[in-house]
Amino acid sequence: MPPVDTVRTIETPEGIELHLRPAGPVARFWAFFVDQAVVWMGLMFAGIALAFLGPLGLGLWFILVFLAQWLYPVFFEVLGGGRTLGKRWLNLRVLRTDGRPIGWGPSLIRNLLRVVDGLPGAYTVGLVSILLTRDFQRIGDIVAGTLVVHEEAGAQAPVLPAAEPLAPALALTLEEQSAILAFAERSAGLTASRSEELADVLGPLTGSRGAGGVRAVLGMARYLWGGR
Amino acid sequence: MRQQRFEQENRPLWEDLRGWLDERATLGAEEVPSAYRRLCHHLSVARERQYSPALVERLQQLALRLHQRIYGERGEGVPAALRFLWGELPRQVRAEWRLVAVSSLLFFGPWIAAFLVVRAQPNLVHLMLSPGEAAKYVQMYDPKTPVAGAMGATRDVMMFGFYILNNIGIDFQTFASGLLAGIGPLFFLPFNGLHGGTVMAHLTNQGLTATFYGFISGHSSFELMGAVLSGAGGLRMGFALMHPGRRSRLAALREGARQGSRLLFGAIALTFLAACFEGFWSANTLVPWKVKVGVGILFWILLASWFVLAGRRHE
Repeated sequence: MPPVDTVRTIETPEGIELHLRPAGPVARFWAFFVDQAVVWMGLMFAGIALAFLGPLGLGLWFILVFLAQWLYPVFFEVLGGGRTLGKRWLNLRVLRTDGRPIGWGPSLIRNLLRVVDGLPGAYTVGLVSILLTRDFQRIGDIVAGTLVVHEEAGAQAPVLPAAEPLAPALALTLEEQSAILAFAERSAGLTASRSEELADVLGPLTGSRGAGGVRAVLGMARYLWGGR
Repeated sequence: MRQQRFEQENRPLWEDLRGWLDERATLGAEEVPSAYRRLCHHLSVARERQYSPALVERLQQLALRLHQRIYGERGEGVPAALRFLWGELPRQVRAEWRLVAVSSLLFFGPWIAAFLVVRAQPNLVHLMLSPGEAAKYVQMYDPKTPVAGAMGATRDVMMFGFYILNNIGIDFQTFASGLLAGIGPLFFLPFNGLHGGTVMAHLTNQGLTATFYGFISGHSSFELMGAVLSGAGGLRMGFALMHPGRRSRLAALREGARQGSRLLFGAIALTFLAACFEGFWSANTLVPWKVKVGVGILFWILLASWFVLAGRRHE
């Protein structure tokens, strides 16, 4: 069953499926905003510093403006693993649609086509395109064959809460087992009352409610994970 | 197999692969492919047995990073860029000669027409230029006006920076707006051509031959052909969109953009070269203007022979 989510699945030559999570307009706007802020602040300070050099400084500043306006994202995307500063801030990354890192050609295309995405002002074309495409691609992304994805933040192995292993009274299907494990892995981030509320759903299985129910479900997770 | 045992047995392999990604290799380069395939197997197994979502997610993140590293392109460094300019770009220009010809016609046609018309009817200059602009150009090339070169090297750098910002920016705009069914180049090329031809005729009419032609001839070949190539690249995209042939429109557009961007890389290189000459050579007043025109013609010949002759060995 395909996931009910904005997930793009790519199949690799090894025959496995990898999931990419395309980033929506809001995250991308903030990344863009951070980039613009950084670039214009940088240009401003560089301008002040270069003003002391007279015409020479002005010439250098023109070159900086050119680089900032057109090539800043290209250099960062290609040399920085698909991430400008704003994208790094928001844990976004540009990839090709097949999941590979982006190269000079596609990066140049997707960034120059900001000219088209920017029409008729305030990135209207780009926004409409992002909203209409399944993978949130603006025109430049479509043409260059790229997409912007969320990067899963540092995948640390969650530690299952300690509990007395407890064999479930019924034979559980794989999906049910998976759900119990997911509950245990997430339980550290849930409040006690929310944990209890969720564990109460399994009341018929655990035979208890409240804190006792939570303990029982965690025990089952422990059992499913490592046996007795 | 319980998840705990599965993790215990295979964790060393995952750690090795993670270490290889983070440049603290415990794994020889030749062992990576087989280790990666085993990781892929583990991922499939973990999914099939519905091991905990966190484990599956961790394995899939690791597999994704490795996929990117293994199937990513090698870095395209400076040697590759030079190889591209030396061999592939002229081949690309020859392969797309029809588009380059159309682009040249769009640019030089109006240029020549405007030049001839304004030479014949000097007053028509005001169709293109306001009186203020016309006077500004005349003043710029008036021998009595101190030219940029006379103001020293720092002034040269300033003009160089300005030419980079302005001229390559125009190239980029022309290229990108080609996506709109080619409308960008179809407008920008003739417009810039008309403008150039008018200015050229006007200054000739005013008898400023020496300063004007002395200034523009040195960099003219690179700058004008840069404009033509960026236009051709934009047209390539627009044309692919309008006439996809046997591909789907989207696939044709992607391919068109890929081919077009190669022409654009050439345009960037040429326009950059033009800015170098424009900033540091063209304004030079020590060399007689006829010599500078001679050098300019020489550059045109060199550029043409590069387009025609370079990169033929591998074809």
